[in-house]
Amino acid sequence: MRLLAFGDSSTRGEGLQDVFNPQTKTTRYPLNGFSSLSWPRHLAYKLDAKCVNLAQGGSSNREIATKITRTEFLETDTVCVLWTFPQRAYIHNHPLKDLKDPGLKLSPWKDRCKNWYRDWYVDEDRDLETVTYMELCRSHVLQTGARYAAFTYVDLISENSKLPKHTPLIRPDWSCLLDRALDGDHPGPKTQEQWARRFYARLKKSGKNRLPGGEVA
Amino acid sequence: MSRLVAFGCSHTYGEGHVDCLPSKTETEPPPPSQYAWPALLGKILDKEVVNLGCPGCSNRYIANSILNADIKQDDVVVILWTEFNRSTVFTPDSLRKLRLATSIHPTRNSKVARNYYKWIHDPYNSFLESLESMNLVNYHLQNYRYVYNFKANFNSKFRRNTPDIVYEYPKWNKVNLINQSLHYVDRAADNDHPGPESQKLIARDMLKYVDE
Repeated sequence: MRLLAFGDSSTRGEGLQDVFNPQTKTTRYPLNGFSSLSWPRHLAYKLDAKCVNLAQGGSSNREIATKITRTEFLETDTVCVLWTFPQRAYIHNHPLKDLKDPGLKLSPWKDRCKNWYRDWYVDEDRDLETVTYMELCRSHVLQTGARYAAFTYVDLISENSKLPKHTPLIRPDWSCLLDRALDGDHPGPKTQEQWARRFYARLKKSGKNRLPGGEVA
Repeated sequence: MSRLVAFGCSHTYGEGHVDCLPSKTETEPPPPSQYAWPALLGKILDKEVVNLGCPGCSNRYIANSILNADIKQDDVVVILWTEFNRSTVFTPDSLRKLRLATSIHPTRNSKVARNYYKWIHDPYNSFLESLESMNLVNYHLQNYRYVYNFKANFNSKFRRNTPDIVYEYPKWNKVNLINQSLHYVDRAADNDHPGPESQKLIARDMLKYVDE
């Protein structure tokens, strides 16, 4: 059985102590490409599954969705997605694309993208795009027979937060993380463990198959 | 009586026909044309017609209309998907249906449209954006029996029969699009959109699939 995880740097485990060097402030992943303290690794252990972590730092939800739709799933797979900030955008095959990437990544934290955010950006439009990808990928995975669970940051963090339930997807309250990684930015090891528990609980609730340990979902 | 529920752009709405030309005094847009293919097809099939076509809209907009529409199990759903190169920016007011979303269209001479085609647009990106919307709708309607996906062939405006899709479909695409010529044997009153005879031919073509 495989656990396939999709998301951005927080799913890959960026900044965690096994991959981050605080002296040089650089991240170096092992050959498998992700931190052993990241939530997919904890979750795979709980599910007794092989962990395939396909997350990539800086991904937008469109890139995550593209990766999911291009992956071949087996009926025995468990697919977990942690959707990222809807502010990030992606344009496939754009003439101004980065050389390393087949498209153009747009992020509010990049100075060169500021015109796009000034002229084009509407919170609700980005939220709607994310919901579209969430629905598309959920249907795409479930039709293969695989088990599926997904969270947004707002979903995950709201447990520790006083934000109202229907806060737009766009504004997760990052100050509510249980702890931070060594880079001072990404979620820390306790938060990663907590997220793995929440994914596990959601998989149990979603009700397909018997979970390890004899629990019937 | 079951219904024919039609979705699409101006070709579905019937823009440019004499019965739905915009009025200078009315603020509300006129109802869809009786010369447009949904009315004609509904008449042949003896079904009540709900025409939800919207002039100038993108495939993303069409998908959003379908997801928000009240569709019943025995409805016949016919979608005439539009040109890939259009886009939409949804605003809070458009989502609350207080006003139309910002429509981005290659022939519209607005600042938003000009900047979009200058800085953002990429044809392959637009193709994928459309397919994403179509596939979401396909999953949403998978339990409905009578769903037909046509793709308006914009090459037919220039009397070319080759489909206007130049890219290979990605493997994940599950939607089987039927290439639908817009015929253009005549023009509507606005001298831009397909005229009454062309609309009859569109309805005739669709009937071959819908009647089965």
